[in-house]
Order: sequence, then C-alpha cells, then structure tokens
Amino acid sequence: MALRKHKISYEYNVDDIKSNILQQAKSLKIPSGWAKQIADRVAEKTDKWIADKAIVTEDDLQKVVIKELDKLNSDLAYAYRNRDKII
Amino acid sequence: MSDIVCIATLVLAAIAQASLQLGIGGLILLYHNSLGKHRRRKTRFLARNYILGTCAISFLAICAFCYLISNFFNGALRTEWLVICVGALVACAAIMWLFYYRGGKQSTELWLPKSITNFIRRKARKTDDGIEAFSLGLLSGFAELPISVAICFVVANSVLNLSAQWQVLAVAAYIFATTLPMLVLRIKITTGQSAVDAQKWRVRNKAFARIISGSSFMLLAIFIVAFWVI
Repeated sequence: MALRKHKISYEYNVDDIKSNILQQAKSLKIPSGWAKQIADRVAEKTDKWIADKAIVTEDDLQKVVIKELDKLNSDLAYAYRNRDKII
Repeated sequence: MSDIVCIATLVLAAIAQASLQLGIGGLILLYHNSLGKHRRRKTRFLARNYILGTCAISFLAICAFCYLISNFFNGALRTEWLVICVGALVACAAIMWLFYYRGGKQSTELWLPKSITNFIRRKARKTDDGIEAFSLGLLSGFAELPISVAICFVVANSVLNLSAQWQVLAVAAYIFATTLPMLVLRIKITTGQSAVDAQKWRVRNKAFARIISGSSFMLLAIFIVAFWVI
C-alpha cells in the first residue's frame, strides 16, 4: 500500500500512526492503557479502510484517523488534527 | 526627552512586542512535543531554557541597537529616523491586522517563511536537552526580528534617553514584560492545563490577539509622532 503526499509516494505503516497517536495522548496525560486501546482501534479502522485501495493520499488517511479519534477522545482528535498548525 | 515619556514608550513597545505570537507558539509546540516524550520535570527544564533563549535574543537585540544608535546616530535618533521608524511601525500594524495570521479557523499559523516555521517545528519535535531548547528560543526570537526591528530601534532610543541609573533597569523590565505571556503559559501548564487547552484558547481569541497586536503597533507609532517627532 502506497501513500501520496506532495507527489511523493511512500509505504503505509500503521506503526507510524500508532506512535503518533500515543505521543499526542501522552502529552494530554491520557492513561497509557487507554491510549494504547485508542491507538489499536484507530489502527484497526485504518487497516480495514486501506485494505482494498492501491494508493491513497495522506490527507484522506488523516481524515479517517481523525474521524475515528473524534469518536473516542475529542481532545486527542483536536491535538492530532492541529499538531502542525500551531505556528 | 523626559524620563516619563521614555518609560511610556517602553511600556507601549513592550505590549507590542509581547503581542507577537511566534515565541508563545514555539513554547506551546515545545511543551506539546516534550510532554509526549519526557518527564514533566525535564519538560519544565526545556521550557525554562526556551524562555531564557528568547530573553537572551531580546537582550542582545536591544544592546546591538543601543550600540548602533550611540555610535552611528550620536546617542539619539534624529527626527527623520524616528519618522522612518513610525512608517515601519504603521506598516507592521497593517501586517498584523491583515497578514500576520494565515487563514483557517482552527489554526494559529503565522505568515512567516515556510522554511523557518518548518525548521522550528522540526527542532521543537527533536529538542531533548537544555542547549537545544535555548537555541530554539534564540531562533524563534530571531525569526521575528524583521517585524520587531522597528520596536528595537524605538526601545534602544528610549533607553539611551533615560537617565544613566535607569537604563539597565529599564532593559531588564522591558525584557521581563515581553516574556510575561510565556511565563503565564508556563505557570498555567505547570498548574495542570495542557498545551492543547492553551492552543484552544489561542484559536478562540485569534481575532482579539490580531486586534491587540495591530493596535499596539499603531498606538506606539502615534505616541512617537506625538511626543518625539512633533
């Protein structure tokens, strides 16, 4: 599975998504067990969503991640969505 | 020029400088990334070094401009140079009102060169020790110099016009005042708020911050025209 961002393609890696979520969760002081559950559930969703696609854009993948995070923890979804929009 | 006018100029300049957002944005970014990686004690240490870095660059900038004015302008800016500063401050006010924040309701991205903001983001993500945090503070202060250069000129001119015994105290008070938003943020985060809460507050009050920044620059320009030029 390939991801595309700024016309550059790279391999989809679910561990990157998980580690990003865990890092955001830690900075929000979400208990690690709960954070791991959230990361696993989001990873499961993205894996399912991406399974039948040959190539997707990074924006689309982020939308799926954020949609799922919104259901589980809105603060975490906010932090994940805006992690590159602070300055 | 009387000491009162110089002190009032410094107060207005400090408000204008404190309303700039890159320093505080960089600190939130540092907090957010560091809390995800390090213990709280280490994060506090990094934040302290970052704030010291911004203080150091402010101090160096003011000293450099004081040196410039005392050596090349005979100790005080002449009226035509003050008028140029006023023009620059009015331009900065317009920039604050119109361009400083990029579009997007949920972001507080600033209209700075993309390479600089990317570099600060990358550095904030990777900052692991005190020296890196200090240099990040230096960098964020330096990146804002194109906007704050007119303020630095005005501040240096006011400091040099003060009585000698007040000069060092005035510079220290000015730097403390410009650092106040970062210190308040640090206290807020230390007492339990998260960096996300602070960012949400910034997003909610973006329009207010924009008006305050632009107005403080404009007010400083008007004050200089009224008390220094005329």
